[in-house]
Amino acid sequence: MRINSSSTPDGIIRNSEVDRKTLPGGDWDGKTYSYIPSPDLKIDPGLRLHVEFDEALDPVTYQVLRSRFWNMNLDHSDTVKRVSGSPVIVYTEDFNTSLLTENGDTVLCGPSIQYFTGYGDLVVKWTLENRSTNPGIGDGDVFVQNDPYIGTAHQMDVELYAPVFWEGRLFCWIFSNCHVGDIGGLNPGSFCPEAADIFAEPLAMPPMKLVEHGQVRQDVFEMIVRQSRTPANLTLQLRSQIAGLRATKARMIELLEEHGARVIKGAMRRIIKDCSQAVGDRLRAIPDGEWVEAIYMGALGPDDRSIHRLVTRVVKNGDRMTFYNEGTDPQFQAASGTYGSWRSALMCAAGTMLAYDQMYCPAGVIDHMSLVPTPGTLNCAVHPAAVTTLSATIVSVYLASQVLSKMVLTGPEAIRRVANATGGVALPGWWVASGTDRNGRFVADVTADQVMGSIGAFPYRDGVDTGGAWWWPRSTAGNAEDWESSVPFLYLYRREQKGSGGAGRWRGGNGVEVGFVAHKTNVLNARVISVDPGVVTTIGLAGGSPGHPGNFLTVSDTKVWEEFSQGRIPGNRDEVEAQLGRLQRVSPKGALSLTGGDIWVVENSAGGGFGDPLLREPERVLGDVREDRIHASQSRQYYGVVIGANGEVDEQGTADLRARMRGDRLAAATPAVKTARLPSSAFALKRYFLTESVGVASGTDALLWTCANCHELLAATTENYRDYLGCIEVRPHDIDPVMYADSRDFCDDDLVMRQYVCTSCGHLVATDICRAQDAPLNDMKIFSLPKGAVPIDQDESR
Amino acid sequence: MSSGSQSTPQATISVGVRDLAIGVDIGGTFTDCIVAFDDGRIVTAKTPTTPHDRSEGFFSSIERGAEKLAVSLPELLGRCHRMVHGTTTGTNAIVSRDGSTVGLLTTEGHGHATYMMRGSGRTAGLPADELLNISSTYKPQPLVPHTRIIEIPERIDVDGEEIVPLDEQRVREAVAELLDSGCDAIAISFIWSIKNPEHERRTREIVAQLAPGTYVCNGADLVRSVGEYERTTTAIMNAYIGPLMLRYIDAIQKGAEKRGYDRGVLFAQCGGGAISAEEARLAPIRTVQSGPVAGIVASSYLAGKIGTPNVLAADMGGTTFDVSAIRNGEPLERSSSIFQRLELALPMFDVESIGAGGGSIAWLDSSGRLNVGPKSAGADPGPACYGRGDQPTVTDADVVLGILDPGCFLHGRMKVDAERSETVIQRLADQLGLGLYETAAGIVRIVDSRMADLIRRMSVMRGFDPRKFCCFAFGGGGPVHAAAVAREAGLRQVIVPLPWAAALWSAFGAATADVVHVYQHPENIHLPADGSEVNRIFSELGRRALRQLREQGFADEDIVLVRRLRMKYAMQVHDVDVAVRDTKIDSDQMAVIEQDFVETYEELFGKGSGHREGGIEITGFNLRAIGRTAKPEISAQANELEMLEPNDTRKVYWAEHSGFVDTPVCTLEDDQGIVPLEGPCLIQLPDTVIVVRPGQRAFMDDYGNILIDIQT
Repeated sequence: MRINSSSTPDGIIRNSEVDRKTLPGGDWDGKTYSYIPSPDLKIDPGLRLHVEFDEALDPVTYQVLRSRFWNMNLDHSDTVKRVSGSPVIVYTEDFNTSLLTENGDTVLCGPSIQYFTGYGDLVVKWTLENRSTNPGIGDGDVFVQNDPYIGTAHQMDVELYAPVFWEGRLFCWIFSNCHVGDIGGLNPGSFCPEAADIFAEPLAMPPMKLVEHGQVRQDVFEMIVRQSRTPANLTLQLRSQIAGLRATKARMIELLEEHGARVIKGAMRRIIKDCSQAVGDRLRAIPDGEWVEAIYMGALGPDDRSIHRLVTRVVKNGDRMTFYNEGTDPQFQAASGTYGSWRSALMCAAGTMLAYDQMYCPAGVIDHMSLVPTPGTLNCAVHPAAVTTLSATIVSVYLASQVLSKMVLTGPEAIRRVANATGGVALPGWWVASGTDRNGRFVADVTADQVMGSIGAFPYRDGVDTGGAWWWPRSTAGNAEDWESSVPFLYLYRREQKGSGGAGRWRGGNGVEVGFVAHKTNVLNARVISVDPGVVTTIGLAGGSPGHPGNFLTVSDTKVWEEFSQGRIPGNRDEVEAQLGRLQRVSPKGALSLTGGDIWVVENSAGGGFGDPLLREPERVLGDVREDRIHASQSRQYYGVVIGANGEVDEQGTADLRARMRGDRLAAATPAVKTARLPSSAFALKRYFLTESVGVASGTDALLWTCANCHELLAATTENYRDYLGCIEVRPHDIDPVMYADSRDFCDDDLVMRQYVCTSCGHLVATDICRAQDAPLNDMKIFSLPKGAVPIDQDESR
Repeated sequence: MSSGSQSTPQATISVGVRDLAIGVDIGGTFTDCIVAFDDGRIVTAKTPTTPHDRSEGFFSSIERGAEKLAVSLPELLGRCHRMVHGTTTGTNAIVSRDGSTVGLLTTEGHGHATYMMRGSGRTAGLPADELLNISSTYKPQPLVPHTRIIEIPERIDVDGEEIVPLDEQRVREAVAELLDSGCDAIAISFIWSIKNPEHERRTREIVAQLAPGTYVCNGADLVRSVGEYERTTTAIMNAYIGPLMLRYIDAIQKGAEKRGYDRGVLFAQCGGGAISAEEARLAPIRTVQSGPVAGIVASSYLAGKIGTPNVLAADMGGTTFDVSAIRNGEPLERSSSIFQRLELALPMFDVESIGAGGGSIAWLDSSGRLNVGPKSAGADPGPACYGRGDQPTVTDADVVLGILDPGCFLHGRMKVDAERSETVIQRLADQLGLGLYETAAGIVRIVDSRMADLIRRMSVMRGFDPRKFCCFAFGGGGPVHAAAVAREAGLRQVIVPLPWAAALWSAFGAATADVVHVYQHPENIHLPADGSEVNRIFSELGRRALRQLREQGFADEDIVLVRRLRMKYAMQVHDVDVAVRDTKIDSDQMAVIEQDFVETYEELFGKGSGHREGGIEITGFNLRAIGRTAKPEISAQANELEMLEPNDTRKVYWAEHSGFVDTPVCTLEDDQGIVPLEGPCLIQLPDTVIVVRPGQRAFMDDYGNILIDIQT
């Protein structure tokens, strides 16, 4: 075992992802505890693996093969899409395909859903260890599995994978993971928010042979299809995956014939090596340290009124990241996620931030990761926790991107660019529409408006309004006309929600809001599968405000049809309330039956902001107002920008207002918990930029925190800088009741926003969302100065 | 007959007979003109494009054609029965964002559709391997900002029923606001206008009353398919180029009349074929991308002539490599496409592109790997050998390897600097630790393999086997790289079509275009159905089509109506076109249509891929009305050519031999062909060079095409 070493020199992964000596619990074999592979797999010696390869590869052949693998994998995706024809696969791209080495290292993944990218290696390695003896792994076999404790997000994400043999030896694997729709369980669509444990959910199937020696095993096939309410759909879905594996395998054989096995494997290993090298180089450029993020979720089960905490911490030393989930609340009903999901979320975020130019090579990313799981928690559940709603899994994706964003923000310019606040589908919320349509057919569909999502703010630019979800790059929400064709409802409106992006030096992307009435049906059923949007998941970075987390709202029995006949359409939430009555919140586990004048409003999550909003250039704020991206009132409330009667920025008014707002912050803030005891030589220290929140100063034995704005010294970096800042604690709902719904509607715990401000200048250093009873987050420790750091007074770029 | 090349058949010009067609295609650098006589004689002319007023270049190219024929311009025009123009004027305005100031009137509650772009706007049109670089992804700049979008209270539902009446007062106010904000074009696009266009129609009337000089267009007049985002974007783009296209079309029309051409100029359209100037005025958006599409028309025409029903047409220019497919003689179509990262709902020939061309830049990534493209040096600064840039490109690699002769660029009119190519590639070679020639060959191999990957992907996604297709290679780089690309993609044969016309392929396509009108009608019909509704709709579309083509002077025997239904399995998303063979449809024929659908679906998507239990439905009607035009009779003519043996040699680096080989070169002039040649060899044409790789064989067919048999 080679923990804390540098990246692989030859593309063979030797680093263990866990330290088994300190691993809590029992066996991590995919039964009670999730499966965790070792670098040295226990494989039946009767299964011969093709392991040798050419390390010295001609650079042109390497690039040709790299492009070939990439395109083969896209062809694989295309084949799945072509044969399946399922809207979930073709439009929303809720699937991914990948290519793995003989021992299950993922060489590359496709550009579809990204949080699937950390499952393939788990599943193939488990299969090698547990199926190589009985029933054996042979040429022409295809395995199927959907057991979340081995490696998938939930049982609806079904994995099919095939070994490729060459000259009698196992050469590589081809893998796909597709959301197949209904595969049994309590509810149509298989999401089971009310499941107390996995036994109430769809069948979780550990790996078994679906195809043996090229022949589909009808017994296994029918057993799977029998679980589904829509067996024909599932049949097609499985067929599409088999077709994709077969075509890709044939292509791989052609490549082997053309180039020889040693060259092909050499290219695979080199891809991993290159990726690992790139990730390592980027990590080494970031100062060593520790970063933490917490995101909360409320109302996880039908009767749950609690707020639950999920935590991810990363410690970075050299080119290695160690992740902890300690501090996460216990697993809870179907909102839980497994170790595999936490791991996949981390790999997806780390891959996106540190290996975005490496054609999605997960093995090169995991090579730099260690995980220290605390089992029995929401993001590391143990069997038999239920998992179908994906709530913790999706939040873990954002948790990973937040904590890694905090880490990369301390790196050099080229690396910190990739930091990105939450957005997209940060509220794991879906709703299923069902009813009898105008042709008398019963239809039920998970709606997709929320896929339009948003992208949170970056350290140097705004987020992207309705820019989708970053981890789901090729999805589309469809047109209003598409949805009205298939579901018996009529959109009142479907628009970007003005002002929903979190405020900040850079603004988070706006999300989408939709309003509906039932149309040409006796009843439209709306079933929500979500967590409480009042518990804000759409947090910002570096003091930036959270984006609008979303909301589910209704008003019953309105006169909307009379309004229609009078030529009036309520075109947004304000107009609904003005014309038709006050909207009431709907429970995140609610089910409505809409008829006649009932209005159904869904608001989806927007992006978090980046940095102190009072630092946003006033002209950008004005541009947002002019372009209808924010409400005019928000320009003063959040940004302190005064727009004069002439429609231009009132510069003096803005300067005065911003000064007053900083003063108000200081007046409102509770005093710092601690007062800095600084060395007498402090005045002579050199100050360095670290992030937009805090900087560091050095010159004495200890590194010291400084305010990033006024450079005032705060404390030694061994301390929590939040203890040295003023704190304004307020319920988000009290700041802006439309932006942030009241968490007390569905939860008993008190949710607060804590804004930490520099007591010298009023700069907003950090904005946290947490339960009132929680201790302050200690989200950053720095062990060393940034490499090549230039003191601020000599740094011309600042 | 004379050969199909630039001969001077002035003796055969006689007054009073209309026996030729003229096709003109305007590209970035050159304006190409083809004069195609009905008997198969063809004269080509090339003049510089005149960006300040492209109509100038348009007429100069025709004048040049007349000069070549040694006849006067009025005489030439007097003989012309059809003049078809492929224009990039609209395309250029969109690319360079210098079109009109457009305002949009749309349905209350849906004013953001063109911003939200269905949630896929940030990644639409980007290569898949760039999507993870999130901080570098943006939505495209919209053509109409928020401030010029006005939502109008009105609503039609999925069945075309009025839910909310049109607020005409609000329309009036909105028009005034848009005019105040400087709009010179207004697009109107309402939800479900395709099911009931009344609100759009009435709104347009009001705009016409209040702003008579303003360009105005309706979504449902342009697009007849479901999907408000693509339809509205199409309407906006149409309005964006509307005013300038009207001016341009007028300039062409008036210019032609002034010079004595008394028949209307036709315009090539993106759906294939040509439309009248009146139609182009109503829907100028249809001229967008018409140049590349005309190239496909030409390929399809030639493919039919030479009996090659399955063709992958590969066009390699300076920046992109474009592939389109012709299956069973018909170019594949798509109902929507991405143009400048915006999605349009226009029936268009199906073209896939990647950033790979002569100008593609070779570069090392952060892991020190050699990459080629997608960034291109374009025409300016161009490849390093052009003397302006210093980035190594594919063209530089071809020069270093001896494949491109530095003296033969642009008919020898452009001098290039081969030493400069060597310098920039040597720089890369030093970084890679490879030799100069190895690096140059590596650049070529990488770009070839990327193009081969695209061809394979194009095949897989559309469900066909590349081994059953032959490759038509055109564009400046097509003939240079096709033999290697085809070998890599598993194709068996490359055809460089009519070498004397290949460099003006889009103009040739314009000259051979039929007049085509496409009528679409969205209608959902669940099967089984008795066929009466299908009959009713096709009859109505057919009547309109016949009327239109007759008015354009087509005799009934020259009119072809192609009826197709768009059909899908109810629970699946793929629509397929199913040809309707009979003019009267009863229940029996409906059963045949259903069976045809099932077979077509399986052919495209694989055996057992249809979910029949979920039901089958018709989603739309498509009637393609074709007015057949006289075409140059391409006939066997090679026996009239002088067949050349190689007349020169030059040292060329062949990766197959890992070194330089004295390679035979056959330089073709007009009226010359080749004897069968064994590779390696080069066939030098005025604009490009055909590369025959070692182990391959080239020969000329009876029509004068050059064929290369690929050793796979």
